[in-house]
Amino acid sequence: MSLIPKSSSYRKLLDTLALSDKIILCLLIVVVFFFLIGGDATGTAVTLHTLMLVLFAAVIAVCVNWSSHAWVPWLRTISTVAIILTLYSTLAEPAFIVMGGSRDHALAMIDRWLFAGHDPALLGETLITPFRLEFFSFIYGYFIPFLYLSIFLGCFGRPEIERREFLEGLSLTYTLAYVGYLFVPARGPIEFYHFSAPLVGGTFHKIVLSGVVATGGNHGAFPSLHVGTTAYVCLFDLRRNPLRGFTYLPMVMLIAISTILLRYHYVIDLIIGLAIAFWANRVASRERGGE
Amino acid sequence: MIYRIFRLIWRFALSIFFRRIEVDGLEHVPENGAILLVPNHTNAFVDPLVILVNLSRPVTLTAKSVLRRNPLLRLIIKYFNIIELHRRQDIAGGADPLKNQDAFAECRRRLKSGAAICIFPEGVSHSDASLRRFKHGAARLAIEYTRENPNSNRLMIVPVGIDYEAKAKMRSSVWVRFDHPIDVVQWLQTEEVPTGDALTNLLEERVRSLSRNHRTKREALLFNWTAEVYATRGQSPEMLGRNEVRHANRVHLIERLQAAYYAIEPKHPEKITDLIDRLRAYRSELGRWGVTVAEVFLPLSIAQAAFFVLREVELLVVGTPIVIVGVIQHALPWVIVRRIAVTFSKDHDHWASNVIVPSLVVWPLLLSIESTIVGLTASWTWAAMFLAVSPFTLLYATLWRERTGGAWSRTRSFLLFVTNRSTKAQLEAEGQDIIKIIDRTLAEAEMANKGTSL
Repeated sequence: MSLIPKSSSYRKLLDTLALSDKIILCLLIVVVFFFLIGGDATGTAVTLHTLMLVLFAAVIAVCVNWSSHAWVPWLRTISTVAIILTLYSTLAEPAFIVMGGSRDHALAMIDRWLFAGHDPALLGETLITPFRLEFFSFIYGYFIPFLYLSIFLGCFGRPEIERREFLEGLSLTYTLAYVGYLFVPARGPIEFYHFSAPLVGGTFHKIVLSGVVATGGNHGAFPSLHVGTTAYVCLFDLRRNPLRGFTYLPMVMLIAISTILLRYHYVIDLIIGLAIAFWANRVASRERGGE
Repeated sequence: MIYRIFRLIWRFALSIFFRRIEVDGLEHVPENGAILLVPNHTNAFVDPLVILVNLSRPVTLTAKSVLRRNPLLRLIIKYFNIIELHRRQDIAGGADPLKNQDAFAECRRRLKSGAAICIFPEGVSHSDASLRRFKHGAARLAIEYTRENPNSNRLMIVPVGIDYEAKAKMRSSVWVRFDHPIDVVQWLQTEEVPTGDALTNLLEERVRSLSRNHRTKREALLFNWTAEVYATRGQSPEMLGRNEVRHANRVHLIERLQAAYYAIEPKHPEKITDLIDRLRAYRSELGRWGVTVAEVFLPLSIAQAAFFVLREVELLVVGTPIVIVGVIQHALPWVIVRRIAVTFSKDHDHWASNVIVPSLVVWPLLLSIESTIVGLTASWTWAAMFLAVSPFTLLYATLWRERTGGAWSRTRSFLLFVTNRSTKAQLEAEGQDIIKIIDRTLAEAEMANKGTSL
């Protein structure tokens, strides 16, 4: 039974919102409250995220008001994707301040427990060769064009029902991952462990390193969005466009391996990333199942 | 265990050969107890396979005795305890109809132990336009078994309909329908004259209702064409790679068209003749331009074309490395299997069987040889990986080939229509007209049928 009466204007407003709108609005509210708790130490994080919340709410209000116009789906999609991609580089770093440090220790402990006392990150060190480093750097870097192209193809040039379904699953994947970024801030094995030697690779590895620096350095290790988003896109495609799903299935597996070998993620990050992807895909397909 | 492994392998082989295997009515198949499955028979060894891969319980197959002459089939017959039936028409090939006494006794023995037996009452795989008259073996077996065992392991007969979109064509669809079972004990009690003939007629009637039956092959072809045009509804085709319309829906449409045809043709033969003439002309015109019925309604929008190019080029580029591995692994087995199928297939009935059955030997054998070579030249880890990815690369290469074929066909049609807009307009108009005529005919037939029933 719903707590909000069906006839209330608030309920009517909620019904006019797309599921992805609700998810992103909830996320932004959580983020703003999270940084409000952190107080002055988080710097401009509160102002920045409040501004994002207000802007997104305004865009959604416009979308609801002019819902019959052809440009509304485009505006809604672009604003949702813009918010989730922007949050990637704005919320992880201040989260360390609010939570009073990283949770790498706990994640490393879970990994050690999963591998019967061994550290998978240190085991990975023994497997890396210059060729493998370059190969997996290419795979890791390939995530970006793959993700952007998938988002583009998922949101545009397809029936409205499928676009909404894709966007809902994607929003849910990112939202759950960002909750992890906020409450379990971690920098990944690359900063936690003392490896015998740093990874030094060729062109592809340098591209990966500069990419990490460009997005604010090592943060947001838990859960793995590399695995979460690629797995979600793959699952969505397996339902809607099976050949594309099959095409990227090996890529998803290789990306998961690359995040371990390049020392950016713990194994538990991958497991939770995968679980989020499966759940988001399930929710999105159920939500649109009746249409 | 071996049965389960083989069922898995067969399921994989069928999913490579067929694009879709649609199954309805599984709930009608009892999960235990004696059952007799009686399907129509149009695709040789593939018919029993599509049944057994879809049932969770083991199925005992029956087969003509002369199959034993084929060494591979002899192995399958032996390992899967297939019961051999000796047909009169195979006497020259070594069949001995007297041995059928033993074969049916074996069937009854297995039924008593609660087995599921699949028997094809038509007695032969064929390409006729309609179901052949049923032979009495299945009914006789059911009645004899029930009279011998009136109180134990009650026998249920499950009529099965198997419909192939194009049985000899790779990547076509198949629809398997299991109907409500017939309780033989109950039938014997309620039927006025419970003879083998009566039960045979009942089975034939039930399987007839589950299969497509036309007066001639030409008529079947006409209904296929009509359904193909009508199914487009004059709308732009779905994006490539989508879950297409179920084959079952297509069969239902053909059944509707057939009912309309039989209702209208006696009263207004000229209408039907006119429609057939237009359909023929339309089809030959499409053939002349080399476009499919659905492609006639492709939108000539630049934005949609751009998305199409982006989607297809991405798959072409990213999928190519997997396809290259697939080709290295599977080209040789495919060439050999194809050669075998060409050599041994005298007709359409046996093409699919002659592809699927040899595949079960050729593929594992050649993949073992290939991975051994990889093991000897590279490492055994690579050999294991080579072998492990082979089912995936086979499936992927098959899907990719199908998809790129479709993309190429659409691209060609799009370019043709961009440069010949008037041709597209004419073909589109004719297609729409034909659809309207079919609509009118269907409505008229439905009115006529209502009038008759009133």
